[in-house]
Amino acid sequence: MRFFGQVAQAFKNSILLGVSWVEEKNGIERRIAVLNPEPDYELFDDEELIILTRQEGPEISELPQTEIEPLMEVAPHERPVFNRVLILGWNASIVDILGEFEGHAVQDVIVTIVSSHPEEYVERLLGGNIASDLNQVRVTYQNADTANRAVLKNLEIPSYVDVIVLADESNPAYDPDSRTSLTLLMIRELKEALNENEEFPSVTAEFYDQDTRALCIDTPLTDAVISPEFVSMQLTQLARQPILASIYKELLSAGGIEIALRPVHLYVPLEQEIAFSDLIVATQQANEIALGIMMGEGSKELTLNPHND
Amino acid sequence: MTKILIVEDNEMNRDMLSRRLSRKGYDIEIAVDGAEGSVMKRNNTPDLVLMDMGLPVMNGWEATTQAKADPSIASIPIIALTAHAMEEEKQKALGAGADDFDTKPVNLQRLLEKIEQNLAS
Repeated sequence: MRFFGQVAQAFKNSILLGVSWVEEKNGIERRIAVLNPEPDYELFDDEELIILTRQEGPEISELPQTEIEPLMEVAPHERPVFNRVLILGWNASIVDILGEFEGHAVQDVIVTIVSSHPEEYVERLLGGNIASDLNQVRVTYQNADTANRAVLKNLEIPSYVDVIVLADESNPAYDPDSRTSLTLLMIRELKEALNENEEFPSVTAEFYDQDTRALCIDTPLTDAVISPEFVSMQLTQLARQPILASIYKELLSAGGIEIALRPVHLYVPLEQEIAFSDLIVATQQANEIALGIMMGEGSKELTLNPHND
Repeated sequence: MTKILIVEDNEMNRDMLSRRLSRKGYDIEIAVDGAEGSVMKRNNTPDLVLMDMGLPVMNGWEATTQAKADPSIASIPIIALTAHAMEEEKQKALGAGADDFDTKPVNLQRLLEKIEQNLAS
C-alpha cells in the first residue's frame, strides 16, 4: 500500500499537490483532479500524481517506511481582515469581484465603488439578482472622476483596508491604463502627505499592459495584475493540460483550498535546524502542503519548491 | 449495498470523499447543495447522509432541520461535516437534528466507525 503522505515525503525536488484519475459514470468519462487529499489517502495504480516540479523532472527517493501520522486538530487560522474596500474604476469584472468578496468574507464587508458611470446605470446593473446574492457584502456607489485629486482626497483613502484600482472602462474617452497610472500617482501624493507612522491601505491595481505597470513602480502599489497577460498564460496552459482548469478554479476561487502565508513556528520548533522535508511532514499533519518559503519578515523573496534538504 | 448521500458543494471534497467511500464498498449519491440534497433524500432514500453544513442555496443546518421534520425521511441518519472541530459547531449541528458530527479534513477511520454506528442504530 502507498499513501499520499508517504509518496509526498519521497520527492526530493518536487511537491506532491494532489491526485487525478478518470471516472466513468453512465457511460461518460470524466477526468477528476483533487488537490491536497488527506495524507492517509491510499494511492492506486489508475491514478496520476499532480506535482509542482522543475523542468528537469522529479527526483524521488525510496518511500519512507514510517507510518503516516494521524491528523492533528488544528484551530482555524486567522484570516486577513478586509471589512472596508474601495474600488476605483469599473469594468465587466466588477460583478465577479463582488461575488468573490462574498465568498471570502468572514464578516460584513463594505465596498465603495467610484467610477464615471451614472448612479442609475450601476443601480440597474447591481440591483436584483446580484444584490440578493450578496449577504455579507454591502455596496455603496459614487459617480465621480477617479483621477481627480479632490475626489480622491474626499474619499479618505487611509480609512480603507484595501484599495483596488480597476482598469477603468467607465469613460470611453480615456485609456484605462493611463487612468490607472494617474490615479496611482495621486494616491501616492495622498500617502506622502501623511505622517510616516500612519497606516495606509494595500493598493492593488489592474493593468492591461505590462509597460504601464512598470511605469508605476514608484507608487504605493502593493501588487498588480496584468489581466491580459494572466488570461493568456492560463489559456496557453489549459490548452496544453485541460485538467489544470479545475485546479486553477479551486485555488483562485473562494472556499475550499487556498494558498496562504503561515509562520514556520506553527509547524516546527525554531530552536533547531530543520530541513524543508521536516516542514513537509509537519504540514501534512495539519492536512496542508508546504509549497515554499519566504525568508525574513516583510521580505518578498519567495522560494517555491525548494530542495527538501 | 449501503447507499450514502454526500451533500457537499466543493467539487474536490465531493470527489475525494465519494472515491474513498466507494472503495470501502458504499454506493454513493451526490448532491451539491441543501435543496438538491433534500430532494434526493425523498426520491432516492439513502441509508445515511453526510451533510456539509456550509452549503449554498439551502445550508446544511436548514436542510437537516427540514429532513428531520419530514416523517417520511426523518429516520435517515445524518452525519454533519464541518471544517472545524469546535464545540459550538458540533452543538449547532446536533441542535439542527443531525444524528452525529465529524470534521473535515476527514479522518477516514473515525468517519467509517461513525457511519457504521449510525447505520446500526
